[in-house]
Amino acid sequence: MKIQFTLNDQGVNAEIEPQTLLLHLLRDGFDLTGAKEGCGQGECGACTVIVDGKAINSCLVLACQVDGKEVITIEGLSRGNLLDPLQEAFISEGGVQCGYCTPGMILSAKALLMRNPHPTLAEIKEALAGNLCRCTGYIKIFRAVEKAASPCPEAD
Amino acid sequence: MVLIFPFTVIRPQTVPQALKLLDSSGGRWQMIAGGTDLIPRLSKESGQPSTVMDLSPLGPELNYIRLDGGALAIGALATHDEIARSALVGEQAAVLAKACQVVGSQQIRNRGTIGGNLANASPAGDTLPALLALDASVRLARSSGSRIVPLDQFLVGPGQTILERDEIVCEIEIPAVSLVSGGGFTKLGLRNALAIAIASVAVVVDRENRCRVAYGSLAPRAVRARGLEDAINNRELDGRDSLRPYVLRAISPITDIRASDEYRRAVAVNLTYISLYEMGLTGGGG
Repeated sequence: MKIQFTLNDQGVNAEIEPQTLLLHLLRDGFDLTGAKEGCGQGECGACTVIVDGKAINSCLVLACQVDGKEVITIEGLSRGNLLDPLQEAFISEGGVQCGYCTPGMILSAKALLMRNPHPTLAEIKEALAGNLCRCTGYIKIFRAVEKAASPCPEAD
Repeated sequence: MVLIFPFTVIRPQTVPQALKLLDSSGGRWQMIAGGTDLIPRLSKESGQPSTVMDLSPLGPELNYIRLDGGALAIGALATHDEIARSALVGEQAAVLAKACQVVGSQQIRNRGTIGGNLANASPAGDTLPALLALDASVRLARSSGSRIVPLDQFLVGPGQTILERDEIVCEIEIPAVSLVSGGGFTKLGLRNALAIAIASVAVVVDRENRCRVAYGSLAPRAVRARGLEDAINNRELDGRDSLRPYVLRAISPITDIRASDEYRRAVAVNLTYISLYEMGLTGGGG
């Protein structure tokens, strides 16, 4: 099957087997290995990417289903060397340890901030409830999202 | 997991096109919409389909939430997130919005559809007790026409519905008498998100002041508790002990990896009591 979609702001084409999952197209077809197969069942969020503004589990989407849509992966968040405020906040607040959950975690947070720029802590927790982390205990991740969402994200 | 078994994907662009294609399919095609139930299942099962029909391009025709002659009509492709966030659902069928809000996770809610939740007919499906309490009906379409069946008739057993192989779920309709902004939905799971319900309860008081109660994960399919409803509506109940025998008669839980039948019986009574108490439908006390 031939599909066309927007990937990190660029129009792309792909020729795929119909049963290809979006996760594998991104990793194997486009070498975007930020999204991970943590469970393959939509239960960990490590494969999270943003499609048409919404965070989704890319292990549960057939690649052909993003034909005509806009996909954002973690690799698309930074502009050259300029990191997204969320990425900066994850670093400064210590919200990254092994880093395995981090791409998915940041994208879930990004999707939240795209529709709700000043979420409450409860809203942050709900938005990130589909992303599991085995290292951090979540507190510093929530602080990172709060910091990125604050009116002055650069102030310490 | 990689889906190593190859299959063809058909992506019809209109409902009439989809139904016409289904007609010629010999009834062996697998439907996909959000894919959140189907894709994990495909990787586990043998006997994989040779053809999958993707209903997601039908969004323009099948994704809507609107009032239709007094009833609330929800297209089968409306996602759990869209329903949970809908101001109209929040005002008119709040218990359904509450149920959709506790499905899986934000990522799952952004893809999973109400039509899929119905067609999948898991005994633990979160929208099903809410829809039963709302007396919802389902419209099913095939190329030769459509039919409307009460949800209570649509659901048969675990993963079993009356959907024929050449039919798709088009719409869920909630009648005017059920449209209220109150109601409660409680889901008990092993954690706060990404959890399949151990037990769930939906309670609604309709526009004629009649109480409806429905359960999930406590029987082979979601069920109404009509004996309990009568007792409530006849004001025969006062406190948890009085409602216990009615609750236990309404459910038939099993022991599985999530909970024992005994635990489920105990929590069913407690969740019912808490829900009814919070809505002022029973007195306090054991």
